[in-house]
Amino acid sequence: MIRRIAWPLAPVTALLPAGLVLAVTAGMSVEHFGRRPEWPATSALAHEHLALVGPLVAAIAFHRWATLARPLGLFAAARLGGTGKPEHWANFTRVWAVCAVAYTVGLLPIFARTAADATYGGPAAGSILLGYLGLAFAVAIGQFLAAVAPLPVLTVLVAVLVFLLFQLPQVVLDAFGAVLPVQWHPLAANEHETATALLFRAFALIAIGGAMVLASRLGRSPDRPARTALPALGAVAVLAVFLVVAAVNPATRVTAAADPPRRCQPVEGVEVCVHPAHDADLPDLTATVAALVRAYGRTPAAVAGVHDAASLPPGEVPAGRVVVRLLLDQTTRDTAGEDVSTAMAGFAGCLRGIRVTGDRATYEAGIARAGELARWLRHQAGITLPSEAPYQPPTTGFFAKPPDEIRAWLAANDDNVAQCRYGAEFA
Amino acid sequence: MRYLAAHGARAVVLLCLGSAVFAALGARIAIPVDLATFQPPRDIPLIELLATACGGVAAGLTAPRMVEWEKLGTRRVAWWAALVVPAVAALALLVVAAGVAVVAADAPWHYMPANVVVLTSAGVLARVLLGPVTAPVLTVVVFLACCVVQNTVPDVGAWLPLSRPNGAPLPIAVPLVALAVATATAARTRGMTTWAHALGRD
Repeated sequence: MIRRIAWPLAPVTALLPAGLVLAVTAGMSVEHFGRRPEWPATSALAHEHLALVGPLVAAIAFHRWATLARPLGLFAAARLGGTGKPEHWANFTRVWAVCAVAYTVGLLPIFARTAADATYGGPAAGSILLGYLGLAFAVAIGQFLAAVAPLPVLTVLVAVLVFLLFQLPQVVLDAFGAVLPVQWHPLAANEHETATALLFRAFALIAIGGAMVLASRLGRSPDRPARTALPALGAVAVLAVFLVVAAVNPATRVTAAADPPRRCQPVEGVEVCVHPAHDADLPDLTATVAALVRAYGRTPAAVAGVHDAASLPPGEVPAGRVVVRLLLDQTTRDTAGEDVSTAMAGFAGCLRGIRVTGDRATYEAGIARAGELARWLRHQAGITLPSEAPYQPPTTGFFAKPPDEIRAWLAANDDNVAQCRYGAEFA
Repeated sequence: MRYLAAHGARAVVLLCLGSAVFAALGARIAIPVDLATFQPPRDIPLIELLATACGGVAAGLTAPRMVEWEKLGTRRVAWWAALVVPAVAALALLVVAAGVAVVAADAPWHYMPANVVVLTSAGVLARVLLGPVTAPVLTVVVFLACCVVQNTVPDVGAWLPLSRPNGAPLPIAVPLVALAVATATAARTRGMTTWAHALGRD
C-alpha cells in the first residue's frame, strides 16, 4: 500500500517525511502535557503546530516535486498521469495524505489526554479542520515553488520562507491571521474561534492553495514556458489580494462566551467561582481563599467574591470581585494566593483612590502598605510565592506585633483597609 | 566567466540579493530559542538565519554540474573551485551587512560574521563530501541544533565553534581556519567528490 502511495519513488520518500512530521508534531505537543487540559486550546493546536510542521511539510512537498522534475521524474510524471488524474493533483493529494496521517498520529496523544482529563466541552471541529486545510496549504506552497524553481538544492530556503510567512500574524500584522493557518493566539477556556473567521480562513486557504496547485502543473511543460509565468503570477496575486483584504478589513477571530457557565462555592463568606473547565482547580482555590480569610481573621470587606477569569463575561469586573487568571506555569495556590491577598489588603481601593482623587502621594504610600499587609497575610496562610524571598518577620513596626493584635486591628479597620485608608499606627 | 556561468553564479547572486532585502526588511526580528527554564534564551536574529540559509544554499548551488568533466580539468579548475568558496562566504556576509546597516548601532551583531563564515564553510564542506542537495539542509539543521545546545546546555555550547549574541566572541582564527579547510578541500576535489556525485545521480 505504501509502495503505491509513494510510487514511483522509493517507499522511503513517503516514510521519511511521515516520520519527520510525526516527530515534530509530537515534539511540539510535549510542553502542552504540562498545561490544563482544555478543549479550545487543544483543538487550536491542530493549526498552531503548523508553525513548524508547515515549513517542514512545504519543504517535503518542494523537494519531492522538484525531484520529480529531474530526468527520473519525467517517467514519474508520465506514470502519475496514468492514474487518470492530472499529475500535479495526484502528487498533491498523495503528499497531503501522507503528511495528514503522520500529523494525526502526532496529535493523538495530546488529544487523548485532553479527552481523558478535560472537564468541560468537546473538540472544536472547525479549528481541527482548519489544521488539515493549513497542512494542504503548506503542501500547495511547496509544490508551487518547486514548479517555479525546480532545484532540490533550495529545499531549506523554502522551509525558511514558509516559516517566515506563517510568522507574519505574530510579527508584522495580527490581521494577516485571517488568511494564514497559524493564529498565534492562545485560547482561554471560555473562548472560541468565530464561525465567520473560520469560514473565511477556510475559503482563503482553499483559494490560495488551489491557485498554487493549479499553477504548479505548468513547470512540467518546458516546451511552453510562456504558459508557466502567468498562472504563477496569478497564484501569487491571489495570496497578495487575500493578505490585503485581511489587513484592510480585520475580522474578529476569537470571541469569549457572553455568559460563561460557572461553578461556585461559598468559603467563609466569600463566593469562589470557576469555569467548569477548571473544576480540578476549585479545591485548591477554595483552600487558598479559606486560608487567607482565616489569616485575616474575618471576611474582609474588600473581597466579596473570587472568580476564575474564564468564568466571567468579558468587560468590567464588578466591585469587590477578584479575578484570578489561572496561569499555565504556576500552581493555583501561588496565582490565587498573590491575587487574593493583595485584593484583601485593599489594593483595588488604592488604585480607585488615585483615579478618583488624583492624590498620588497618599495612595502610593497606601499601595506600599497594602503590599506589606498582603505579604503578612500570605505568610500567615503559609503561602510563599516562587518569585519572593522567604518572609522575615520585621522586628519593629506594626508587623512585629503578635498576629492576634494585628487581626484585632484589621477587624476594627476593615472598611478603612478596603478603601486604602491606612492610619499612622501602621507606619 | 564560463566556469561561473556553469556553477549557478546568477542564481547565487539573485539568492543573496533576495536574502539581503529580506534581512534588511526584518533586521529587528529575532526568533527566541528558549527551551530551558533556567538558562538564558539564545535569540536567532533573522539576519543570522537568512545569512546562514543563504550561505548553505549558495554552497549547494555552486556545486559542479559536470563532475566527470571537471575531474579531467587541470590546475585551473582547481583554482576556480577554490575561488568560489570565499566568494560564497562574501555573499553570505553581504546579507549580514544589509541587515546590520538597518539595525541600531548598539544591537549585538559583531558576533555574526564569524558564525556565518564558519557555517558557510561547513556548508561547502558538506557539499564537497555529501552532495549539493544535502548540504544546505545540513547547514541549517546544524545551525539550529547548535542554537538549541547553546540555549539548553551553555557549558557545552561554549565549546562549539559558534558564538552567541552578547557572548564571548569567537577567535578570528576559527572562521579563517574553517574557510581555509573548505577552500583546500574544494580545490583538491575540484568542487565535489566522486562519491558525493554518485550519491545524487539519477
